Amino acid sequence: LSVGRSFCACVSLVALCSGLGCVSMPTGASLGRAEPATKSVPRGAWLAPVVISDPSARGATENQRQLTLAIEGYVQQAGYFSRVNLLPGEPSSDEYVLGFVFDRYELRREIHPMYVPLALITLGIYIWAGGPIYRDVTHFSASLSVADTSGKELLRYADHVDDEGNVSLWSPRYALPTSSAERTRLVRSLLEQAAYGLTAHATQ
Amino acid sequence: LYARALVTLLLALVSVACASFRSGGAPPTSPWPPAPAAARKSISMILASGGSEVNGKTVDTPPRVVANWREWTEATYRDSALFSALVDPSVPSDLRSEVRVVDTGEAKIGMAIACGVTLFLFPAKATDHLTLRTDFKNAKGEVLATIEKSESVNTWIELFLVVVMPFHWPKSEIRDLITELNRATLAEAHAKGII
Repeated sequence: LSVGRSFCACVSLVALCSGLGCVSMPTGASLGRAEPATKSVPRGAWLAPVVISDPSARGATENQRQLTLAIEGYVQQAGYFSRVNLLPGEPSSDEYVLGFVFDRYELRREIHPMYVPLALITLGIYIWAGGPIYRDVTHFSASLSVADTSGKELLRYADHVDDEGNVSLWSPRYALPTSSAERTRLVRSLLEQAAYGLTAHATQ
Repeated sequence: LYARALVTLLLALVSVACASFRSGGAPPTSPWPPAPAAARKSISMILASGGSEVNGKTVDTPPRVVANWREWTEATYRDSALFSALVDPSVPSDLRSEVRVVDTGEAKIGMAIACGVTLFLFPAKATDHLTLRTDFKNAKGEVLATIEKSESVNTWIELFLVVVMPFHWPKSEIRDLITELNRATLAEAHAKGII
């Protein structure tokens, strides 16, 4: 139960330590809603289990499973391939195998440098007025390899998304930190490159 | 001084009384477990968040929450005795089920602030609407069936709910809900002859 329990935590935190700001949660694995692909490949694809190789990533094993299914759903909804499935399975000879590796997978929450001095000077009014309390910093870096069913790599792309944003007491991210948008941006960027690359590769 | 601070903190923590109540929804699946098929198949199950929203804003579902959903779902699959084996998703199997849980939440922010400011005398409320969507596929990746089940849970926070809390612990309520949605899904798939 994410909303109910997080809501309990949120109310408790507002009551007990709104002046301290001590919320921290591990990076999740969900993706946002899929936008339609700008280029579709008229063949099927099979997705290998996603790998998170970042040694500092918390909960990497659990996130790998979740991200695998999340990416499969995203590819299906966006329509990058005629169909998509998870390995292991029985791909046909004209289908592709996709492999995602995330070598950086980080959402870090820092105290905003103005928070402590301004909250003290204004006797807490700064917090209730919506002044920045935290700064959420995200770093995602990943590669996508596309191979044929014999295992021969056809294409490989790498990309990264680095972002940061302020969080106030009234931000939706205050009690429920999220990096879903950044993750989605990175996955989409890699898929777009792969779709265009495969189209060009097929015409050669 | 430290003892007083500790006691104050403990009292404050104890006073955070949350209790959850399922919305009712469909009646419990009966009979459970269903009568098994003559030839049972192996299955692998993979589960992920299909997205979480709070008041229309997308948020990350904490990985430990999804891990709980997965454990409860695995327990229901084993309990069903409908399969010859429940194998890891990395191992080939006769069937695969892909389970996505969508959590659409609503939190009353005004009530939450009033609740915090009045030290839990004024109640606060949040609602989780959980939808469990299961795709059953064969080894070739062909979709055999897609089954969707959903139900809601209301979570209340109020000082005097501390007496109700042991009987409506939020985690227990959501475990029962996920279990029931999985039971209903498996029973329907069984009735359709897929498993």
